[in-house]
Parts: sequence; structure tokens; C-alpha cells
Amino acid sequence: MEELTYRDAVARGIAQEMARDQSVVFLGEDIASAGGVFKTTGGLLERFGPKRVRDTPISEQAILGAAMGAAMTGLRPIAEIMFSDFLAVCWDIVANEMAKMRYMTNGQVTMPVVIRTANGAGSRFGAQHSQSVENWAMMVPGLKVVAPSTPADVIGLLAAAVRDPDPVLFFEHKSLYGTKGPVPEGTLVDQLGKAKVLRQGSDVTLAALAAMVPRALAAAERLASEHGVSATVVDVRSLVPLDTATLLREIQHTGRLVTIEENPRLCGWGAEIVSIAAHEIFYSLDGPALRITTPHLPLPSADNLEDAVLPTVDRIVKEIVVTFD
Amino acid sequence: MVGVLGELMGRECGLMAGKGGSMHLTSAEHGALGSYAIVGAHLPIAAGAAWSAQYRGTEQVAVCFFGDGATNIGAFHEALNLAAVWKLPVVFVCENNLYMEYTPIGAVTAVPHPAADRAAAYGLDSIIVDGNDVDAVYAVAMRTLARARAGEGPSLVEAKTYRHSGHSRADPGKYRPAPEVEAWMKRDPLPTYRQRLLELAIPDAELAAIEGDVRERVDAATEAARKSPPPPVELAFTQLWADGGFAWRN
Repeated sequence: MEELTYRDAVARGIAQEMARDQSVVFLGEDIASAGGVFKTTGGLLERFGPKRVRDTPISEQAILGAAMGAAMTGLRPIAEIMFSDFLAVCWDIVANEMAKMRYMTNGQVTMPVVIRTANGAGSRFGAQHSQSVENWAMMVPGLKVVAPSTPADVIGLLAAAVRDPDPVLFFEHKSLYGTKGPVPEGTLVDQLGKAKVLRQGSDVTLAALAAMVPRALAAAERLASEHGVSATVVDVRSLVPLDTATLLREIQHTGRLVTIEENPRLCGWGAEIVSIAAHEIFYSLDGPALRITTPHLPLPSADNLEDAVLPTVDRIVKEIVVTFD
Repeated sequence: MVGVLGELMGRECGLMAGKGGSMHLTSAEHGALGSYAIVGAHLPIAAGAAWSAQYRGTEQVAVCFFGDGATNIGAFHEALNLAAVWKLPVVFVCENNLYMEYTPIGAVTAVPHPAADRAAAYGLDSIIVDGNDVDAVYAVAMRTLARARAGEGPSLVEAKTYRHSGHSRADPGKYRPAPEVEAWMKRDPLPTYRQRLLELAIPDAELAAIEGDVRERVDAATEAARKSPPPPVELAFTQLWADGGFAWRN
């Protein structure tokens, strides 16, 4: 199987959908001529032309407003918001307009928009270019929320998002862009709302998202080899819809739940999963649930400071081991 | 008409079956892509509808109406710039009625004509029209629509008009000076246009017949909307997603 970077998977996923459907258009800052500031969209302008791949001014409200108006009138736009932090400057269009239009009009309009955005820390960009804001999106009724952790998932979930008739926030993790993974040949189409079990264990279930997935896997290896703890790892992949069936099944199987979240502490996605587990499978739990998150802080920039606040493999192992003492 | 009135009253017969309310009137089948309750948000959305028309080659034009208050929000400027750069078939119409909500637009805006004076910043003509003159508005509409259809890009029209009452049901509008209200009420476009039609030798009886007919239709629609039941409660749990439901988990 071919190895592809997470970065190249983005362009391949967009190209796959643009080649299939003329109504798919793509807009954003520096995405066309420059090929994207993270070099995720190179070659698309050359292949699909300036009518379908459009550079925009630095105007996030105009980008998403244009995507919304186009979606309401027959197109299927993919809009890029360069850094997910910038969603704050166009949140009106996301949370008040796109998310609610179908509901408010009792189904008169359909909103097939995908908002791709580079999310998360690891690049030492500081507090306004490093946030994990998937939980902002998760708490707005009317938005679907996806965050892939592998190149194959980038392609498959992006295709699923483009084909979905509802607005989807597609969170790419900027520290994963350089990572590689196997990608099957041909057209890849995945399914929104499906978690993936990456490793099966018997003592504890780790639920992780995006860049926390490889850390959870590494932590699971160390838990096994150094502490004799056998961990299941579930890649949550989709926050809305949330695959509670898979999550609850895997938590029941081990009797313990740990969420590994990059977002700051309060109202992180893991809190919702813990709450569902506490309510629905309380008597299957062998111990208290544990949430491992970034502390409730903005992200600092210096290498050692950023490393000190993010959930690292060391910290994940340490916090889990304590619960087995 | 029944749909509009029903929506205002929160009835099942409303355009959106009572799920939208007075601030979100939408009738997609008529090309009315929504009224938007967040000031200025719809300008970029209209640009998007225009972009779609341009892409699909439909010769459609997006027309976007907003108040003077919208000219000071970022979305106004982002939308105008994008529409100008992409030469989008969209006509932006600012209805300048002198008041945003309670504050006069002139008290908080750096230029005297809040829309027209900004047009040059986006390479557009400064267009001011008497918004209470039906024929003048029609002429500007024809000109700007033709420009959009010819692929020459967007227009920004500032229509000078007046708000005859308060901003909302809770606002009697007492901050408007009495002489100002009086002067503008004399320029109410409906009686003014009626007078013009009489001067053009349209018989009074013909106008009275149209007015009577319209009144009857409005009364009938009002009555029909009143008779409509409130929407069924189950409706609150539908149409979040395109599958008709609102499930967020399995």
C-alpha cells in the first residue's frame, strides 16, 4: 500500500471530490497559487482552474458567507479557515447562520458546506495559532464535527464530509501534517459518526482524538511493557455525530475510561463522553473515569512551556498508572 | 401572504411553521433566501449566492437589502470587497432610514452617506437614490441589475428613506424630533406615488379598486393565519439535519 503524508492526503481528498462533482468548489486564503500555508492544497489550482479553486482576501466572514450562500444555491463548497483560531472572527456565520438555517426555515434550505481548518498545538505558534477548538464546534446544534488522525482517514472522512448534506467542521491537526500512513489506492469514502478501535486491551479504554491518537497508542505500548496494563485505544474521529455505541461497548469491555484531550479542561469533548458513560453504563465501570487534558490555560509558545501543558505520552502514562495503584 | 402573517404569529401555516419567527422570513421557492437577524451577516451570504449564479452561469442576480446600521460592521466591508474583486452579480441596497436602533446613524459614522461614501473604497460608483420615490428606485434597480447581468460586477445603492415608527414593538421612537417626523411623513411613498398616478391621469376609481382589493386580500390572509393552529410540538425536534432529525449520537 502507498504511504502518503497527512498533508498530501488533504489535497488528494479534495481532488478526489472535485474530480467527481462539478458542484464542489474550494476557496480560502493562499490556497490556490500558493498551495496553502501548510502546503496542503498544492496542484489543485493547476488541475481544476481558477474558477473552482479561488484565493480570497483575508476576510473570514466573506469566505464562510460566500460558502454559505453558494451552498444554499446548489454548490458544495469547501472553505478553508487557515488556523482554527480564526473561526472566532467568523463564528457568526458558523454558529448563527450555517448551523441554524435549515432548522429555522423548517428544512427549506440545505447546507452542504465543509469548513477545513488547521487545528491544534505542537508548532510553538502560541496562544492564537495553536488552539484545539473542536469543542467550540461540538456545542453548537447543527454542526457536524470531524477530526482525523491518519492520512487515510483524512481522505475518507473529507469525502464523507463533502458528500454530506449538512455543514461539517473538518479539523486537520497541524502537527500531523508531516506524518505518514498507508493509503489504499482508488476512491476512499468513509462514514461520519464512526469511531475506530485501534488497539484492543482488557484493563482500560483510552478515547483520543487527532494528535492525541498517536500519543494514546504510544502510551498504551508503554503501559503494557512497563506497567502490565492492557489498554484499548479508540480513535473518536467524529464528535458529531458521536459513536457512543462503539465507545460505550469498549468502555464496558475494560471497565475503565480515560479521555485524552488536547483542548483546555472545561467543556472538553471528553466531559461529554464521561457524562454519558456515568449515566448509561455506571455499573460496568470498575473505577472513576479520568480526563487527561491541557490545563485550563491559553497555550504558551516556548518549546518547553508548550510541552509542559500538552498531554504528553509521559503524562498520559503517569496519570493512568496512578489510577491502578 | 398567509405564510408571512402565520410566521409572525407563530402558527403552523407560517412560512417556516413557526420555527423561524419574524426575523428570519425565508421562502426559498420564491428565491427569498432569508432575512437575517444578525446585522450585516447576509451581505457575504448574498455574495455567495451571486458567486454560485456566476459559477453556474444562470444570469441570476443576488439582491441584498440592509439598514444603515449594517454599514459599520465588518461583514459589510468584507462582502463588498469580495464582490468587487470577483465581479459578482449582486446589488447591495442600503435603506438609510437615519436610525440604526435608537441612535442616529450620523452620530456614529465618519461620513455623511454611510453606504455611498464607502463605495469608492471598493472601486464602485457612489449611488444615492430617493428611497421614497418608487420610479427613481425602479430606475436604479434596472440599471444595477443590468450591470450585474452584463458581468460588470456589484453595485452599492444607498436609498434615503425614513423609519416611520420605532425600531421594534417595544420602541415608540420618541427620540426622533417631531418636525423631522412630520416632514418625512409627508413624503410617505405610498400616498406620494398615488398622487403621481393621479397626475398621470390614472382614474381615482381604478386606484381605489386596487387599494380595496389589496385590503381585502390582507384581511383575508390575516384571518386565515389567525385560524391556523400553533405548530405541533413534535416540529421542534425536526429538520436540524438533512435527514429530517436532530440526532447527535447513535
